[in-house]
Amino acid sequence: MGTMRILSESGDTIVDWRIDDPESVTNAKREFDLLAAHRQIAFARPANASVEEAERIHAFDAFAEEIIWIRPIAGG
Amino acid sequence: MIDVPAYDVIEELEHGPLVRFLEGPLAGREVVLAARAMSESSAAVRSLTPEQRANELLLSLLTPQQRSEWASRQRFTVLTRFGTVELGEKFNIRYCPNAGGEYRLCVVPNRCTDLPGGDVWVNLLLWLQHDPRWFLTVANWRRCPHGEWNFGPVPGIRDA
Repeated sequence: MGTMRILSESGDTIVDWRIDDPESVTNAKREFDLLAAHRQIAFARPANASVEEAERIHAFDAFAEEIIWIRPIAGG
Repeated sequence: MIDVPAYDVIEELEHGPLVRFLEGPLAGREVVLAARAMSESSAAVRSLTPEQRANELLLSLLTPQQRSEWASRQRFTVLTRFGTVELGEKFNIRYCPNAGGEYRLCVVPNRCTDLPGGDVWVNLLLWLQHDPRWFLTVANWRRCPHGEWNFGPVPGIRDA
């Protein structure tokens, strides 16, 4: 099972999918494309791997174990 | 039968005691032990607060060294090709360039006020690890100890 974690006021919002469940994959890809269109940034990593193993991705990868969405940054 | 690590009972709730584990992988975690689970010596993890969820995600991203730093002083260092950045103090991030000197930086995620603190560091950590140039380009900065704040980029980044 893959999981998207979208940083939010609740800590993070979770979107899960199963590779053997096409509908869940379609829904997750739709969410991915929506977030990307809103200039959010996606990183994929093996489950619980450290930041050094996280990799920036630009397209939905149904085989990713975990995708973390972060926000653009600016000077404060 | 499953072995359960030592725990303290914090409060008796309707469905079982709320406990805090003292050791093992759940050390520090507060958990409700359901009545049935108690008899089988297993536990169900209580739902986490936003801050706990954010901290859990942050800890999962840190290296063992960074995790140790975070546990001892709520800060951790990130080595970049430009220098060392210390995350943990909002709006006042310590940066020591390889070329020498020391700065304080102010960098935040968009709409950062609606994120738990741990998520702010998750956001900045991932940026810093994967695109330190951009991080140091957008950062507002001041020289230590008492310089005035300036808009980015941090000195030395444009030509690096």
